Amino acid sequence: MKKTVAVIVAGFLFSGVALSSAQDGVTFEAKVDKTSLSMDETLVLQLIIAGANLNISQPTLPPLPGFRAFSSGQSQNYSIINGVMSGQVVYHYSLAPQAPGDYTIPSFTLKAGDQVLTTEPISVHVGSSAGTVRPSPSQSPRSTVPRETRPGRKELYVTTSLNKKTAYVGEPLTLTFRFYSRAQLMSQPSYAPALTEGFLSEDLPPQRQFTEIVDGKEYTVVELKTALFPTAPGKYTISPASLECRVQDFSRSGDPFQSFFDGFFSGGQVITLRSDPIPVEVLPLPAENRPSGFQGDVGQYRISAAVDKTNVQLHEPFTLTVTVSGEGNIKAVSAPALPPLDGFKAYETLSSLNVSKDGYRVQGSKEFRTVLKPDVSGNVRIPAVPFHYFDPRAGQYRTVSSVPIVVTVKPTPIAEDTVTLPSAPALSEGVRVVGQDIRFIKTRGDLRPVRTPFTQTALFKALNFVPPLVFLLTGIWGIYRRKISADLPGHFFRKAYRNAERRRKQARRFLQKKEWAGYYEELDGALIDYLGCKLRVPSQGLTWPVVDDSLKERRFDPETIRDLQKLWEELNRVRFTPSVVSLADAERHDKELADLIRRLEKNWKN
Amino acid sequence: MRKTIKAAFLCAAILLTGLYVRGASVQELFDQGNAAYEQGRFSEAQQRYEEVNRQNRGGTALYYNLGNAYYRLGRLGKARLWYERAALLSPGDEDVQYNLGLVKNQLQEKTTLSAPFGRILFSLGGARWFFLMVNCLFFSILLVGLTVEREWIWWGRWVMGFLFLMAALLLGFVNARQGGTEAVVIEPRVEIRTGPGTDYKAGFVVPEGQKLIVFDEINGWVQVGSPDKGLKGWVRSGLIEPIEPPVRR
Repeated sequence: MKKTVAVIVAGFLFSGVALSSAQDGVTFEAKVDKTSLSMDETLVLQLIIAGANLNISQPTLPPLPGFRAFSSGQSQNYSIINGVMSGQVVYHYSLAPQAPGDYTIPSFTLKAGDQVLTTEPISVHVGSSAGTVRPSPSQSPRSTVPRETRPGRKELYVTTSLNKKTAYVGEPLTLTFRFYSRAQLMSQPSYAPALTEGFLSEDLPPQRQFTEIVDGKEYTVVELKTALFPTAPGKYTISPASLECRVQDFSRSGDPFQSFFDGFFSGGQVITLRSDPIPVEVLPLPAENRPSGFQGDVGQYRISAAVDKTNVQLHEPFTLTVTVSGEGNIKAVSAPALPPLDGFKAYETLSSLNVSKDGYRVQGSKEFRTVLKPDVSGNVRIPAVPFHYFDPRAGQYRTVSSVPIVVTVKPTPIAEDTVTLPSAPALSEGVRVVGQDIRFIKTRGDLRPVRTPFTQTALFKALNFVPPLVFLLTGIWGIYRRKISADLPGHFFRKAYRNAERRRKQARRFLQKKEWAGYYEELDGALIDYLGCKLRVPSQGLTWPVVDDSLKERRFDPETIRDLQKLWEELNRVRFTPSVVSLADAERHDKELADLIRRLEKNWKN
Repeated sequence: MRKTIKAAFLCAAILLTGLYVRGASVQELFDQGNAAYEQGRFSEAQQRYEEVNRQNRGGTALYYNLGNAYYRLGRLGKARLWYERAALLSPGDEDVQYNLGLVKNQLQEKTTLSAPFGRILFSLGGARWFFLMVNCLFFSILLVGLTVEREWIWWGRWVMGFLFLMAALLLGFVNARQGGTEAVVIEPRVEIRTGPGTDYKAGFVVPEGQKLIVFDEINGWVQVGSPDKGLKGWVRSGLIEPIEPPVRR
């Protein structure tokens, strides 16, 4: 500060000289103390402005890739030769490397009057950590000595730690910075927090100071906490935090008096302490089971809803307050989407925030206030408001909902003294839906016993098979019929015996009733039909000679032919004189017929 | 003999009176439920309707009113369950479909079929009836064709054959779509686990009112799924209820 004042005073005293010498002869140069250094070292950069007129503002540092810059002050030097003043101002910077590699310190630009002065770029190589303490360069106005930051070995060191190395997007993390000190500090240390690219950060006060024993030595520890909220998935590195502090340098001389004066006049020793970088993996929020209304909120939250009035007049506005509270990045909590508010007109939603950092945790509540105006009267329901969030502790999405609220809306009373004047009918605005609700109950209904639906019963399933089955059977019957039609005599030939038996059965019914005419008609018919079918001739008009010839031709047993003739004639006889027949004769005729047909059938088969 | 006749008359009288009292009480309970609903006592209305249902009485009106009572009580899961049951009985009932659609909207579910014919046809019962009808017509016309040779029968066979194929495909599609009985989640936010027990991890969470397909049951745990979303898991049987109402014997 004193030096700055001196520069100003000198500038003021010699302004006339400076003006007379114009801007000519001003030079601008950038210098570094070395072009190769390790991660443990600090690069000293000097920006030197020399010339007659030094009434020039301090140059602004452009971004220096790979380095973090700290201003280490400035020095100046003036001389007057032959009434002309000249001098130089040197701006000192300590550059702390961020990562090993080759870097280029870019050109610096300075505007001096009409002149634009630039410096040459400087290439610098940064090697990995050497782990040693190096003495300060003697030409530096202040000695800047990098220190190893491993705990337990030095009098000063810093650490940073993170409560988790893997986190989901939006999950709160706590970054803790600690400064361990056993040395006497000569000034307030300058703290440069870690670069947290890819994270939103939130300070967590208060700063804590305590003592801690490390390797048997007592340290004063200053602790700072920061909440970090990852913004996107990926792999990140939290860069080292650094702390520049000035301590007494007793190493320069063994002489205690010299050291005493050095302490006052040399400004002490500037030390840059740096923590280790911390890798963090940020996981994306799972896509599986993500609720449709999820808006990216991460943490642990609750939701509640309240109205300022539960009894209102029609069209009287009231406020619905939806409060989301809990732990997480409460500032970023998005407004829960209100469900369809049937019967209300909703106005713009305003929010207010209440953040607490008690216990070094970011928590609090966010209120979303919406003004509602009821358009319908009655008990109008504000449905539950859902809020979806991702709970990183459980690793799953959760949905919380507020309790539905019922607001009683009274119709607007019509003032008794109001006189309604007749006016022209207003234009109809048509049907307008002002509210949506379920329809009313059914007051009449058939209370029938509960049964299995017919479509699920076995009968219904069986019904499905009936049409194809009928079709199939009909088809089979058709084929059978066609087959019979193709060989009708053959069909009758095969059926002859069965038909004869059937007629005999019918005849026995007549026998039981002693209806002789019917009985003999059936017996006679059975025999004639049988013979007709077997001989493949029409049974009507069949005569014995035809039968006799045919049977003989087929070489039937003569005895059978004789018996057949006898029965043929007897049946012919009694058929027309049934009254003379006794029951015994009738039964005998039936037996004889049965026996004869069996014998004939046997002959035909052979 | 006269004593026997008297006893028989007495028995018949007691039986008929019993039947009458039972019938009246069911109707009375239903009316009491309606009265309670009209007066805004939804919990009481729901209890009365449930009592009617416990007496093995059902019907579109009862199921629909139960859905309404549960809706008013804020229980969307139960409301949907009863609306679905009412829709099963009467797929063409406009009131049932309206209220069911409203519940679906609140559950942010899409309603695909709005025309009553489509709803009936695409329900399992509807598809079965349609198949039976086309089945009868198709085979009848084939049968007629066996004996009658007319041009319209020739065309009719082709048309009915095509319809028969369509009906069979529809039935197959509706059956495959359901793949099991349907159930509704009746509790808020139910965790569906990867196995039948609490030792298994929760695979997904379903909100109250969500419709699921039931596939299997083991020791009080039911295997359910949401074929549209390709999800399947296990849930305690008490947390869901089948849409098809159980038949008390």
